[in-house]
Amino acid sequence: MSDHMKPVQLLLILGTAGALFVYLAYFRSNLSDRMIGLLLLSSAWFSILFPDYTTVVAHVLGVGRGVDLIFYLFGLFTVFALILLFTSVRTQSAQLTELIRHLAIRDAIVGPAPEQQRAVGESDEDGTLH
Amino acid sequence: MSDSTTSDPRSSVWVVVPAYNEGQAIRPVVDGLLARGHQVVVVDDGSREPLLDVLQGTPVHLLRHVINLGQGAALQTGIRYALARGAELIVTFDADGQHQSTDIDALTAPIRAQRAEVVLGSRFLAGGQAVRISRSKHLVLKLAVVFTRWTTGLALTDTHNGLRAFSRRAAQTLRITQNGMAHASQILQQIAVHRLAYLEVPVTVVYSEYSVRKGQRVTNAFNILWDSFAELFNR
Repeated sequence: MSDHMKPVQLLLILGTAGALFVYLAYFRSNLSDRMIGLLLLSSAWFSILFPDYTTVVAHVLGVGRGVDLIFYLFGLFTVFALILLFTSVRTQSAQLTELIRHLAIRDAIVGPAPEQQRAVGESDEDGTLH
Repeated sequence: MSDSTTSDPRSSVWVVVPAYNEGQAIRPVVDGLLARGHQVVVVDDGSREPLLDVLQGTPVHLLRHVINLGQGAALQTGIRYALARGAELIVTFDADGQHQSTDIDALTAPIRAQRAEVVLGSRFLAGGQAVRISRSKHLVLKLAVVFTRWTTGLALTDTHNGLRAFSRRAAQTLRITQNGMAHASQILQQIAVHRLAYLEVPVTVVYSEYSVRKGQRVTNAFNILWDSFAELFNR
């Protein structure tokens, strides 16, 4: 680290800390999530405060500059996050379908009439309105 | 065959009609089915104007999705309902007037005779008809036949025809999770996977101005293809 912190470093540190806080406060609160979050935050802070070290790691992995390595990892992480998001959206839409289907079957009407609308559920067998 | 078909064979046929914003067009379709003595299950797939008013006074089973989910979801809802009511034979039928209620007897006969578990209507089998079909639609449907044979091994002449009949056992086997139009491919996949005995019978599909305006665009084949592709990863 240089003698004094650059403005961009301060910005990144505050930004990452804020993001983690929001994530933990509003979305996840398991102990494991907190541990992973703190681990990610500390590695982010480390690479912000000591950018030269990321270059050392980059060289080990065959990448020229630390900032390039971070960029590649960011891309990978984004794809991963999108897949997670897609999966959860699909799960929710399947659940929503089940819910709507359940309501539709529960509230089925046999022989719709203006004044008499009756939910039949699974009761009568011959399918007419009694 | 089971006892349920002894009294009146047609009343044991449950016709599932998925409908989305069909308005007045559905009434003659439903009346035609009822006139032939079938049980009719209309699944209103979240139409803007609920179908309740249009179907007043008819002895249909009316189910409504409170949110529009898609034709595949509506079919699965209707099939599950019909099964819960003890249906022995289930037919899927379009609400837009393309299908002919007179085809249903021929469609269900092989199941009654225990020659098949699933019977698929075909526009392109000898005796079948696709009235006023556009050339581009014809081409896409032919490609779909090739695609289906390649992906499922089913030797069919028509693949995305909504007119089908299922035995109770076959209907219980079906799990339509493709809410949108890819359900047609999914049904075929499941016929192949579960090795359900299937047959095609010739049917007539009439493309009226209304049904063309309302129905599938040819370009939607790409969406269906994509959904089917995505399905490979959903298993």
